[in-house]
Amino acid sequence: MTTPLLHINNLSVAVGDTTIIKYLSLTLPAGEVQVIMGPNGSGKSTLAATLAGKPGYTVTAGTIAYQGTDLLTMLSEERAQNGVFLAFQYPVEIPGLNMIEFLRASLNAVREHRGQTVIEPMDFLDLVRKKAKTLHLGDAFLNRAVNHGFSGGEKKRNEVLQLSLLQPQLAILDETDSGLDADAMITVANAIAELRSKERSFLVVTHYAKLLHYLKPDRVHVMVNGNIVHSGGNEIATQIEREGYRSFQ
Amino acid sequence: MKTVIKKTFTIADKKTMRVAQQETTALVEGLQGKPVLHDVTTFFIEKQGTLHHVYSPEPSNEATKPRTVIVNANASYELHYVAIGSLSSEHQLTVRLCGDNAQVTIFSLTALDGTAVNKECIHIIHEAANAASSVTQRTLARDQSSSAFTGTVTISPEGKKADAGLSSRGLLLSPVAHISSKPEFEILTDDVGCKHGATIGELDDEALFYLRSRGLSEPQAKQVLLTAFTEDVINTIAPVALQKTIKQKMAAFIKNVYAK
Repeated sequence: MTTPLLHINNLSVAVGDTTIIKYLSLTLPAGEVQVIMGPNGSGKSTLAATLAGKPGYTVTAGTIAYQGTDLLTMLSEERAQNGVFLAFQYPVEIPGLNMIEFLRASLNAVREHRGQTVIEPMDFLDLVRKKAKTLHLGDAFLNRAVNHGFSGGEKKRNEVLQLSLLQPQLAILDETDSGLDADAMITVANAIAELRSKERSFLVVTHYAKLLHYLKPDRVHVMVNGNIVHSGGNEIATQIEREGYRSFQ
Repeated sequence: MKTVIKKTFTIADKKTMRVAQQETTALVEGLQGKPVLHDVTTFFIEKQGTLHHVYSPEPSNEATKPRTVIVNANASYELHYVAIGSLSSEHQLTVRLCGDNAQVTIFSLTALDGTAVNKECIHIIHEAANAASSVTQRTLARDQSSSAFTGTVTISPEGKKADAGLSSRGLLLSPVAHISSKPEFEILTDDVGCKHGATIGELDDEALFYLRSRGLSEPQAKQVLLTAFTEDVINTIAPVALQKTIKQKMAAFIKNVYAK
């Protein structure tokens, strides 16, 4: 049997004294897109942050295996270098840090880990311009400070730009489709859909079924009160859009 | 249009440096082998004159004298004050905006280590109409160093339609370092635009995690954040060679922060 890309087994996570995720299990094979939907406060973002190794999120029970190895022993940067990518729900503003410098440092950190050579500044500029163009982001955007003064939509597109540059094996999208206007939604959804491959898996946290029309997920989970209470196909997203979460609570 | 910067200025009586009407002058003190002009206590910028000033205090037994800058109508004064390292320094500056449309822009960067003590007092007085002032002040303090900043902007009754801004941010890099910041506005007229903000804290955990989640190691992410913190000041230094010199000094300081 093939080892799944990600295997979460009976995971419990606490923030401070509060247990938020309670004995959650999930298996994500390579190449699949799985979606987590759920009411506010159900623990979706906690799961995403835990997978990325955010300090302050304490695993009190269970295991997470990534590519067959223990993810929980890795630092957050080691997870990133090994192909785990979290698109933040609220990307952080860093005044004074130029986008190009940030993106190049990030790509080189990942490349270095993969045993690839450092990308030269001019080669990088060509690459990032090409990627940014598909997200309708121009040179002016790339010359700004990281997320500083960006609109909500620009911040989300910046997350997808980083996803596209870093080419991770596991992409965790935490409400990447929130706060986007209709056009930006289509741009972002198409960019993400183009990144689907047999090697790359997606774990998508969303409130909306629209993104799923583009991503065509393999499985949709409903998370309530820290655990997955129902799993199925895309029809669940449609049901939630129509009826809300009442029938799952 | 390229601005022609003349290197000439006059020092009338050793204590006063004068920038002539409509002249643009650059002055560097304490960097690139240029000495600090210890005797000069007054800068007088005549109408439509401009002074670009970069000042870095040097180790000295001499007490630094308080300085006053007089900015006349349509004239402007731009100062970059940079104090990096373990030396103790005191910077006392009063800027009088005496003519209509006078302008002052101050960028201050202090990065302290060891047992350095830095005291910085800036007082800007709007004495004429439509004058503009801006202060951007950044402090990093590590080890047992200590920094105290006081920024006062006075808008006198004649200072109508003043535009004044003061931003002060401090970053503590050790549990025993100390930073204080006191921005003050004295507004004695109506119809003015003033804004100020002051923050003191440690490196932002969210920003640190964001960078680490993109593959940067913790030390690398911290260095990137410290560098970013200083860019507001350093990137505004127009002469490329001078900016490079200060960037190198700052990079050496940051490298040492997490080396110990």
